[in-house]
Amino acid sequence: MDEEKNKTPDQAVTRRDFLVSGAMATSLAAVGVVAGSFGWQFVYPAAAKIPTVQVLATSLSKLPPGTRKVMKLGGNEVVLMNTNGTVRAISTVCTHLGCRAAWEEGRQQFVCPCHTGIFDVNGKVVSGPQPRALDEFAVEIKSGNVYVAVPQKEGAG
Amino acid sequence: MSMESTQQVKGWRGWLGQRFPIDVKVYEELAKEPVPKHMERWWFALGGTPLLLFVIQGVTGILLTWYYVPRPEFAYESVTRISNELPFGWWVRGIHQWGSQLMIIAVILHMLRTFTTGAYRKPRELNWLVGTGLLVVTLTFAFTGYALVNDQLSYWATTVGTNMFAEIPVVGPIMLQMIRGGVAVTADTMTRLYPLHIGALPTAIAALIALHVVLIRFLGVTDLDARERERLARLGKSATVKGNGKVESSHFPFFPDHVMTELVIGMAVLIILVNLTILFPPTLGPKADPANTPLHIKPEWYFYPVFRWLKLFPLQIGLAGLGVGVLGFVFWPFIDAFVERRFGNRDINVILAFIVAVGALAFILWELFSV
Ligand code: HEM
Ligand code: FES
Repeated sequence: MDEEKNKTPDQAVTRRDFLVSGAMATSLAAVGVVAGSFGWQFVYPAAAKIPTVQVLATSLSKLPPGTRKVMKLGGNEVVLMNTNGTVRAISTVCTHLGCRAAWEEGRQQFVCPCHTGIFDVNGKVVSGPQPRALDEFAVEIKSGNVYVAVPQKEGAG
Repeated sequence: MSMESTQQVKGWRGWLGQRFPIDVKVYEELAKEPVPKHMERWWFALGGTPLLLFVIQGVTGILLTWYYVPRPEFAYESVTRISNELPFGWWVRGIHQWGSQLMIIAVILHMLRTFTTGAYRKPRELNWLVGTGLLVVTLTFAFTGYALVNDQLSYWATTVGTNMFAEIPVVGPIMLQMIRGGVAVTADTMTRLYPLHIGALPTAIAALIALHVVLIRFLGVTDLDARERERLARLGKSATVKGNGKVESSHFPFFPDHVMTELVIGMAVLIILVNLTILFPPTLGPKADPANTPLHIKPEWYFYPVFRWLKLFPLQIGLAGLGVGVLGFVFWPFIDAFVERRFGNRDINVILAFIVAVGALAFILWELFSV
């Protein structure tokens, strides 16, 4: 008690005060982190973690070499193409700002109307402001069937 | 004025004065604040126009909320109903739509005049910052409102517009999902944009307008600088510069004189607004189809410069350019002060405004006349 009476204003923070405010600040921070991480999950819907699923697209016999098929797989538009026996699956979501770069059979190109982005038959950029080629999905051939691994966008569409 | 003296006043003023003890005289004085003579010209008095239009947007917007349903399954149908079935629904929607366009024009003109006349210079730099905030909020209003309609153009404009956020370094992808409430533009996007449009943005704009006005009252409006006076005098346009430099004759009271100027401009705006709505009632394109981007896609005209710009440059370069432009615009008063200190140039704002305005106009016309 005596000590306390004698202290000058700038010695006003005692060890006890310091520990108490430290404990309070720590618990507040902990509450903040917990609340923040819960809040984060609320702000972020489950859609943030879209699973990749492998879906049966077609059979090889229905996609002979030199042919193409435009399909909807798990909510993604995909152009399946068989070039000399190699099957590829190209997404039609434009890599610029996300419009649909539709496959145009007549021009043999993917054409995005939003900022006139053009991609060639392999999905490579021909002209326009797009930063990169169209996305490709992994293809697996199992006993004559074509499987494509796509992000499952349920409810999209 | 003390409580005692308030008590002596008879009638409703006295009654109110006792229960709401403010000094009316102070407010009367405030309302008569002298305003420099040049504010009589409409070019200088454009600040009140966005305010008037905001009130109109508020009223028509609230009316629209009574029938509009912010779900992808119903949004388009509810807008169709407003346009085609409800008595005068097309009119309310038309006023809201044209009001938004006029509001953007008014904000841009107001900005151009404060920019070209150097009204952002010391000590008004902060009010320029508030002003840029108001422009951003107004454009966000327009973007989110457009998204609500959910026709094809609305849907794809929302997709493209929100996608730009993904390119912001580090936080971009997170921001994109935050805005969309998912990976793509879906029902969860609409329920995020809607409360923004009708709740957060109106609150933000009201707060910013209040701050803007408070700062104007604290600092007063800028007097024309000497050169501008001379120029006007040469054109025979100004009665303000008297040989003896008398001050009284160069100002007039805010109320009623300036309020009158604002009313006249307001009347003109209302006439234009109503006529536009009647001559060009609001339309509605085909319903949104996330599987199909329409062949001819364009945003609203005020986004044409950005749209054209993005077509011209590769994505990252285009967006980085936009970012630099926005930063320069926001912090312009400080850049301008630096240029003046360093090079003694006080006209760079006029030159820059000319270049940017002509450039933006050229981009708008270019886009307008290209398919
Ligand atoms: C308090 C203010 C506001 C409220 C409550 C409000 C409310 C609404 C509502 C419910 C809609 C959907 C109905 C429709 O599409 O016609 C809408 C649309 C729209 N809003 Fe607002 N709004 C407000 C202010 C503004 C402002 C300040 C602007 C622009 C500067 C604006 C621009 C738009 C646009 C461009 C649309 C789409 C119009 C269309 O094509 O029909 N709004 N607003
Ligand atoms: S979104 Fe495809 S070119 Fe811009």
